[in-house]
Amino acid sequence: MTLREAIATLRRRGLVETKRGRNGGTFVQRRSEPPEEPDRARLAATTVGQLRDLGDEQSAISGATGELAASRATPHDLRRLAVLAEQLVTASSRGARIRADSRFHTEIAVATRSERLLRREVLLRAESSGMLWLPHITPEDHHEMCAEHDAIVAAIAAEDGEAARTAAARHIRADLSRLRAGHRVAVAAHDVTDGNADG
Amino acid sequence: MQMADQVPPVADEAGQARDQVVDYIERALSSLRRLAAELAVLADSAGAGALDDASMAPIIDVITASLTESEDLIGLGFTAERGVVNRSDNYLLWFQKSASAASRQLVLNLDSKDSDFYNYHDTVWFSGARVSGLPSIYGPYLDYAGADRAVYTVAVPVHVAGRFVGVAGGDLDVEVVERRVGRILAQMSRPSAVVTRDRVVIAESGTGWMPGERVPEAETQGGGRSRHALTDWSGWQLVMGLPTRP
Repeated sequence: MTLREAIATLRRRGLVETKRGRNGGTFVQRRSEPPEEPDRARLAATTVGQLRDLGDEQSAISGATGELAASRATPHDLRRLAVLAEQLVTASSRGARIRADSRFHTEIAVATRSERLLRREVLLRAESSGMLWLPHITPEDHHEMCAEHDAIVAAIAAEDGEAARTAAARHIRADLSRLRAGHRVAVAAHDVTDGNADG
Repeated sequence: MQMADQVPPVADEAGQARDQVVDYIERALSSLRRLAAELAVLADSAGAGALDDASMAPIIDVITASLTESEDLIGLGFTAERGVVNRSDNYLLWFQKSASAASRQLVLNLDSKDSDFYNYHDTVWFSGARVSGLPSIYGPYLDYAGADRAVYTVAVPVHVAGRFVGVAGGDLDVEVVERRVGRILAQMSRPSAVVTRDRVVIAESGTGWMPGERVPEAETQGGGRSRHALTDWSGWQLVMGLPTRP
């Protein structure tokens, strides 16, 4: 899978908004606010064990990209990371938050100059971001996530690989708890609609 | 060609390697310089702010022909400074080599109101050429929004009567550059590397620092190491005697 195909996966899910036309032809406006229901259904259909497994892989990938970025990021990469971290702070809609969050993690992978890690990170974000950013996320959650991103950026800027790995792993662990909370809500809602209490 | 018992003086050896790497970069750059000259003529005849799709049409053949001819470039095109093209502040006319014979046009998101806007104005290659008036290069980087692979992007500024109107830009494949430059370094008597302005390794000969890694500043200085600037614009340096990584 090329990078562009991985990005296309994100785009199909409405997680990145890209206007693309063939040979300069008509541009298509993508939906900037991905609907909640498919993500909620996907989350409800997932077991906690599967979420844990997803978190395990994210922790491995984001931990590695954080650590490598700390030794490899250029001044330009650092500026980009700071801008993207700030974008999540100001993002006010679900779609904008999904995109800012995904792009932040994607850009850390870009700073490693590892095409393989970037592909993995893009696909992991495509799988998880929509499920993470559902209405169960509180303003406090949002605030904490931004603080966690800041901690990762600070460690990368300090060229402290170990601290970056730790900060990334801690962030993924916290995201996993948030996914777990969303999962509880989604499963309960799903059971109600099904009229199937023991779901 | 050196003999085992007769290591050439460091300065000569570094000088030779430097010249060879510079020759290689300059060859890649020559297509861009020619395109920049053609673009300057076109922009001049169209007048300020009056470039449009129709007036740009003749340059498409120039770009695709140069791209086919060039051994080194995998992408080639023009990006405009704001206020130069009549329909938009963001204008990119860029072609890529493709597996089939014909090159294909790269279509990117140039809507500045969009969060995924490909803002080339802020890239190091574009702003570098605008600010310095000299060619500029950025990379190696994973251009996932543009070239969709690891590249160096090189830009030659286009000026009309002293006014910056954009750049002739091109992409170099990271692997091709590594092979070409690595072959030059392999002839040297001591482990050496060519690194970017940011000390990112472009190619090396057994130093333990691998392409894409960033060498700490302290590792490039002292201890019999010598650093040699490759051009006055690229920031690329030849580091001779880079020690094996601890």
